[in-house]
Amino acid sequence: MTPGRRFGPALETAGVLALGLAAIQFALMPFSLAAERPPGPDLVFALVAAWVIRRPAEAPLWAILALGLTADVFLSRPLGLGALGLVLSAEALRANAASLRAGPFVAEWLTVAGLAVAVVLCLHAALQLTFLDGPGLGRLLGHAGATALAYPAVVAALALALGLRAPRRVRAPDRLGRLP
Amino acid sequence: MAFHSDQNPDYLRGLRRVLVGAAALFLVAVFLLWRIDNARVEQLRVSLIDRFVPSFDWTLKPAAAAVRLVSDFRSYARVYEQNAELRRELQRMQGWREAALQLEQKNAQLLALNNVRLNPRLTFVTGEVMADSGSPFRHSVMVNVGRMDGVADGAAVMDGLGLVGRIAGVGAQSARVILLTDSSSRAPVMVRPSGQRAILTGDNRAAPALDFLDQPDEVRPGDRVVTSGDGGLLPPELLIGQVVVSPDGRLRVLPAADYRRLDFVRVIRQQPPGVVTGPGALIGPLVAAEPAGAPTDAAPGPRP
Repeated sequence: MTPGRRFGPALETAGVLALGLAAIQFALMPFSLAAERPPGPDLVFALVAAWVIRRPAEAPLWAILALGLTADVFLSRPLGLGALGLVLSAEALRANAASLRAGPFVAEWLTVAGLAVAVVLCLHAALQLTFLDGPGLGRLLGHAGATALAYPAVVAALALALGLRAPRRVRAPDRLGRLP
Repeated sequence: MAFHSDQNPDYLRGLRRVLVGAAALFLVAVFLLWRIDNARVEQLRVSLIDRFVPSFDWTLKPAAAAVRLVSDFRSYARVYEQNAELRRELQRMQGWREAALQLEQKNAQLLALNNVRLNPRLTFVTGEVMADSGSPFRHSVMVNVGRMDGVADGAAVMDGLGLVGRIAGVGAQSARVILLTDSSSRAPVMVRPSGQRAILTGDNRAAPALDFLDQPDEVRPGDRVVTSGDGGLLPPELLIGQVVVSPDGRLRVLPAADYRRLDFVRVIRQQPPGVVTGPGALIGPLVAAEPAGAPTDAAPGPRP
């Protein structure tokens, strides 16, 4: 039994949404309110990246869009910008999902980390362009770094708890049951 | 089954590209709307948060409490030193307690003599910190009191000791507190012994900066900083903290409020003070420009 076939696709999409909401909840927890605390990771980003690489079909565009907008509303981020970064990077990962799955994990990790940093840089540029004062490039880069550090943990947690692993090409039959 | 999306035919890939482009355009439009019509969209955000976050309160509290328990547990390692330290501190406090008791008695006598009414317009409502902002963009917390408890926008928020921030965004049963450390926070303050006025500017550091000081060389590290009440938003004489000098030579204020352990906060409910707009009837005869029949003997107070 391949792990992905335990649940139907709709149920898996619902799972992504539920886990994303849980990640938002986690970010809202008031652990420390000191101003110079280390910035926390963007768990929604890590979750969506891991899921899109492993199960592109079960993390549809509308679900990612909804998650991004929800996170923007509840995490007091600039509305729409965080969701834009999430959607675009998820689509970039989806386009390369097959090669990322085939390669070693380190390559995947570096790709996701690079994307997180790129998103943060674009965000900073957008904030500057629209004359908004953001948290500053240093804190934003720290945020992206925390996301990159959290990514292997998120992947491991998904693999252990839900059996979310990259399916092996040879074993998995396609929709009609044919082996490729 | 899991990778048929990689093997889409060309027309599906084109369709997907159109969909992604539409989503991106939609999000950019949302961002522009938020940037242009900020107040109304923020109100929408506040009402959404007010609707959903309080019902998930039960998940937020225990986890944060557990993490704090662990960090408290770590400090048991040096319990002996702490004990000795506390004993010394207690000794010092005994002396202060004695002094405070004497002062309190004296104060009570003087108050009774003067029949002073301490500002009765200042009442407060205490709330519990429910959530933080969750992202590096804002230094803010959510508290579980809102419009139903008489919380108004702009109200001052204190912990037991000092000013924490002010309310920005009120829902029916929750409100958002912008902390003094947030980069959009400005508060008019007064430095105590020298009486100089300044603006306390948050810049994402633990100690906000003192700006627009008239004569910075009259201010010493260790001076007390209180709110000045200028502008009428924050009530005067709320303690903020102590002046410190940062390594780059800027004057900053170390808040008296303990931001690391912000569990309960009190939101000050202040009725706006009456504004005197016209001349009082006692001071002199009114100028002739006043229309006949105007209430000349009315008490000085706000006039329409």
